[in-house]
Amino acid sequence: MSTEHPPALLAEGVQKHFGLLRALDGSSFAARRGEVTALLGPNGAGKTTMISCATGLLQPDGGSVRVLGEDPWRASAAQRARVGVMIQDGGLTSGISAMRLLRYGASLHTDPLDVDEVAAHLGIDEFAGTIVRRLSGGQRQRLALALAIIGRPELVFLDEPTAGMDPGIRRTVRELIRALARTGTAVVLTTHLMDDVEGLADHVVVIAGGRTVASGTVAEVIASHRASNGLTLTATASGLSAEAARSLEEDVRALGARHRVDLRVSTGGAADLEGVLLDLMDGSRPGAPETEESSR
Amino acid sequence: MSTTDAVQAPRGSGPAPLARRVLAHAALETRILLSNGEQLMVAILMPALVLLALRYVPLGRLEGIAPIDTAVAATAATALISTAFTSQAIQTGFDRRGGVLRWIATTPLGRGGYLAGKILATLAVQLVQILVLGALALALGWRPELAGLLGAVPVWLLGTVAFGSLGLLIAGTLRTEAVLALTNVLFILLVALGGVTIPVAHYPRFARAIVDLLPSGALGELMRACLAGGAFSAGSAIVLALWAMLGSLAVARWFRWTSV
Repeated sequence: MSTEHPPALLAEGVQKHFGLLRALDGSSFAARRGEVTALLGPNGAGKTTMISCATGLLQPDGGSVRVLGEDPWRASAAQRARVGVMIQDGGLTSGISAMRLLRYGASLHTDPLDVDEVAAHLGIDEFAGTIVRRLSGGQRQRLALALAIIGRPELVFLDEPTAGMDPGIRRTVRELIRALARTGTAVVLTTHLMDDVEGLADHVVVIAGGRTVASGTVAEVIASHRASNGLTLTATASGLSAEAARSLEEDVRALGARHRVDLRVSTGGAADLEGVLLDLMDGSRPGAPETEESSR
Repeated sequence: MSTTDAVQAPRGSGPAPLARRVLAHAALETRILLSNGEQLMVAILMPALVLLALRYVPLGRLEGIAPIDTAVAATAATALISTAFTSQAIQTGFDRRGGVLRWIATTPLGRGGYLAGKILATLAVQLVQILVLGALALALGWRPELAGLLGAVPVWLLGTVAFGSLGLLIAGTLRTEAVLALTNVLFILLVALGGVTIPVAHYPRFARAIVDLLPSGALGELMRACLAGGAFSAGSAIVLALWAMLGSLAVARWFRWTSV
């Protein structure tokens, strides 16, 4: 993990409006070389807009984005060669075979990875001659990933990189992403798969409502969320009658009062990243309560 | 060495030279256009039918000019519109919907390289059209004059810019389904009624002013001037140049790289 270099990607207070819709409302985050940074959030949170701003597809209305030290909106060909992009909806030319498209992608670079090796590693050689429009979703994902890394990028954006893949290929892709990070590549990925995040991400950025609502390692985000919500004690009581449950609750409240603690009794709570994520998403909605505890 | 090992090699890949990138994209687009049956039908079959029809049906002829010459002039204009306008608009529209334009814009090729490659691909397909349709015309008795052929080259290039930009404008502003429908309908209308197959002089007086101002009318008249001994019209050249200029400006202003 490298910290002495400036971040490969630095987004500060990024704003992007589409008419009245505030897709990004001052979101900030950094992605460092040698790290996998996961952008998390619900659909419509602003993740794809953020990636579009970082890849030069959209110009922010406010704030700034620097990719490898430069403004992506004005990126030169040399700058674009240093960045690999796997976009969410594929972006693959459909009337050509998979292998020919991969060779085309490689031909745009001076020193690309070996096309045959990449194809063999990601199993693209199994459908090398198939026209892109006839590929399955998972096969398209593999081809899009190969195109994103074929130019040995210093920073790579992977939008839902393992979506639609079978478990064997998913494992291969995860190993590849780890290898990219080990070599010093900054990897920015979006995903809805929490096992991908927990297995891959060095750094997590949660975006909701166009704002960054949490960031840090997975453990830090969970710990920070727990701390901001106070100490959480979890006890499971099953098989109680309603009367017994009420009696137990009164006893617990009395215990809290004896210790001078503002005790809240909840029917549930976030104990893992997915739960924290759901809490943060709810918390970002206008008018939403700070926590979703059910206090009686 | 596995890919996992390979990615651990030192970074250092830069963009390929501009010419190589553009040529790679032109080759890709040409291959796609020539391997698509529907596009081939529009690019080769339709102009061939125009050639055969005008050769044998007394339509669109000029007094004192061999029917094969007026047929070739109309066929050349039809072929140009089919590739520069219809085929490219449809291909670009589908690329836009599929996110291809978004991805391309992030690669070393970039937007300018994409457009340059597309223009070269259009010219390459047009070369194939010229060879195939020219051979058919020769078989039907066409005996071209060198001066006329040379005169047709700048007209061809200007027409390609005009119709190519109009095709891109439609592809870059409308939904793919609308692009597909509109470009096919416009192709048929322009060829049949827009001054391509029938010389402007044959139209009723009220329609002439309109057809004269259409890019298809201007292209048809200029092709007939070069390939069928018709009178050269400076007005047609100005009209076609204006369409080329306005079309290019409109593309620069309104073309959207993302889908609607």
